[in-house]
Amino acid sequence: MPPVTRRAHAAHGRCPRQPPMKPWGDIYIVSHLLPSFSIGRLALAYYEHGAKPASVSPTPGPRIYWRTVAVVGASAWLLVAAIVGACVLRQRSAEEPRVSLKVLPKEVITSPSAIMEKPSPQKQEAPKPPVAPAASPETPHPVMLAKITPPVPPTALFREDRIASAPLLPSSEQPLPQETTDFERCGTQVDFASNPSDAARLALKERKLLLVLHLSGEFEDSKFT
Amino acid sequence: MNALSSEEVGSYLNRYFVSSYQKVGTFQVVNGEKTGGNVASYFCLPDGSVLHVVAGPVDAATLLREARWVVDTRKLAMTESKGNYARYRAFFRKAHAERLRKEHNLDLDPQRMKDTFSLASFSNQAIDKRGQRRQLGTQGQVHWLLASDPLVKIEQVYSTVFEKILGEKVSTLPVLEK
Repeated sequence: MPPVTRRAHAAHGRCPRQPPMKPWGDIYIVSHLLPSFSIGRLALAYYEHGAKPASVSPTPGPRIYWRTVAVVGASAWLLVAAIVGACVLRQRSAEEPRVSLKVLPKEVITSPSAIMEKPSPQKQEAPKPPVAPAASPETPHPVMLAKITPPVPPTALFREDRIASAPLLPSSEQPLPQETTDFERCGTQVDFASNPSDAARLALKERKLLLVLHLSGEFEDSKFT
Repeated sequence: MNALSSEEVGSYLNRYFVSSYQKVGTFQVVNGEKTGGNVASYFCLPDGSVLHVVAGPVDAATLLREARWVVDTRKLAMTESKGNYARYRAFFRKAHAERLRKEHNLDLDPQRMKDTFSLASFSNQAIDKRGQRRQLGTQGQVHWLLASDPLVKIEQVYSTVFEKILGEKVSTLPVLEK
């Protein structure tokens, strides 16, 4: 764009007493509104085709304030790095398997000091009880597979070896997995679940009501009913 | 359990209920004759809140009628309560009180029931609106019990039903043959 001279302003009917106009009037205004803002000055210098902004900054100085640019740029990079790091940490913590409080034995829950203490070498070498393989596919352990969200810090409240060594009921006394609910008719036309807790769980799942018969004798044997 | 051998009953119960059974009492077999023993059928929510009880052995038509009453009343209670537990409970209180009034000629005072009822003091004599004691039959006692304490948990009420209403003893002993 060609430079606009004082003569050109006169040709357009402007008052010669007015201060010399900048190529773009808006930028001229901005330069007076933000006299101390370095970014504004930087932009003004750019729009003036690299010419020295004599009317804006009469004192000689760098056209680009590299220190400001460096500070702003570094801050932006730090912000981006922090966001990415937080996302990565969150994803890792979500992938780690955690244990529900429900499976913790009473003694572990009520005495946090016992959990926080450092493990002795003997305890680490002790073989794991038969509870640990309960997570194998043959004997699924639905409660132990539950997940909890936050990541485990170095000073974890619940250590895995403590949880694995916690006394649990034998598998025969645990509630059956959902797929293996057995029904029997016992000589009637009604399907009876093997125990009320299984029936209650199934009723909740299928949004049905629960019918429980309380009786004397053995229902399976008509002789004793 | 002849009622449970009915195909219609079985079909209905299998459709709307998940059923189970528990031995809570015992009886004796003396010279081949059964002595004692009884049955109570609890219609519950999955969490064990009792909606209705059929006390004692009944025929197929009665069991089916009671099961249908539970299913229909529950539907209506869900509609009326709109997710509010207190309203749901109040609806079942009213439903049992209504059956007491229609089928057992006993008009209850709901406020008095709320204030004075306790499972420990339950007896087969109900007190009507005018403060008069009334003797009730087995099923009438069930309605009185559930009008007084609707949605009571099965584990809290089963001994009252079995011992006070049915007159049996809760027992873990096996059946004795003599």
